[in-house]
Amino acid sequence: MSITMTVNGRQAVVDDGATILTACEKAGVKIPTLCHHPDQKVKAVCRVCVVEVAGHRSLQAACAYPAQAGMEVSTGTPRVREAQKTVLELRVAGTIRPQDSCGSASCACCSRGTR
Amino acid sequence: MPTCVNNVETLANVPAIIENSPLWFRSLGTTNSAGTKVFTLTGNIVNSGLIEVPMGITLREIIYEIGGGIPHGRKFKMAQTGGTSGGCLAEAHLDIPMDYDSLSRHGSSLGSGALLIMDDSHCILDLTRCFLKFFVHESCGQCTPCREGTPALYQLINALIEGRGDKSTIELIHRLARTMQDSSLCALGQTAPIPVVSALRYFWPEIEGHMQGSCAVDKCFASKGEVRR
Repeated sequence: MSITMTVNGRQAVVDDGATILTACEKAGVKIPTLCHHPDQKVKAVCRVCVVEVAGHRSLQAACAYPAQAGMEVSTGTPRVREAQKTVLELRVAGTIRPQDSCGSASCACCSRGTR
Repeated sequence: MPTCVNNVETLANVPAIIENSPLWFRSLGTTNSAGTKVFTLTGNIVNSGLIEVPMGITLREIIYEIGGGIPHGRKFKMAQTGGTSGGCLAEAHLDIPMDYDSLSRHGSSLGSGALLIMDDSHCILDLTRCFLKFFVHESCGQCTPCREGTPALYQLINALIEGRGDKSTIELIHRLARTMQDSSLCALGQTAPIPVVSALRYFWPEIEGHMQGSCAVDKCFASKGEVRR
């Protein structure tokens, strides 16, 4: 059985059980991914593929969220872009855990925060 | 697998409702938040412990009538409702009714029913850092926004405490908070920024003071503007 939904207003027809990511590919909309790999189980942990789904309070991971009939997905909105950029920034920055004992002025993490 | 999970507090209400009728239950509390609520009253309060009160009771009534007030002649400063991921409320909120709608309007929640009361000997940034330390430890580390975001928030608050914060620090805190609330995998990461955001909102003059090198309770800086480590 197939279902119909929209991605950025464009119609996408996917098989029942497909993810938003698959629907986006079908609609010709590119979604960035990091932890997603077709040969592996869905992990949904990197949060780089987040999209806006109408009626949902928070953003959803496109690689994991199942497509539903009539679902309205928006990608690349300012809200999505900001989240994706910040997530990537955090991933690359690789924040070091705060250490209680670190009072060194020369420590790159402690003295400069995360900037 | 269909699973039914019931809160103990919900189950405990059932016998009383069967015995006294749903109308009786509805007569307690407010229209949208009926019945009673169990709170865990902790922190700088004379009578700490578990209390059961009608929904919609004010924070002032809980603190000064049931809780017996703030000990050691100190003044009330902050109340955190709903546990560590709840919002920090200030003195101006003492008269808001404790129910689902009112608290959510003020950026907080009833959450777990925990009520942390803090007196004026505490610095709001010190408290916020303490809440964040909890989240850094509790984050399971699966998703990026929570695993990396909680220590980043901790570092940013720490920067403010040590007098290294400026306007860009605040902007970064807000952007991080939005991202964590929007894209974390579970409710832990989604709610971890709530105490931070509410502290920035309701205790702004005190936080702004830190950017100019002064701490309202003189906790964060030594004399002569030196940073206390």
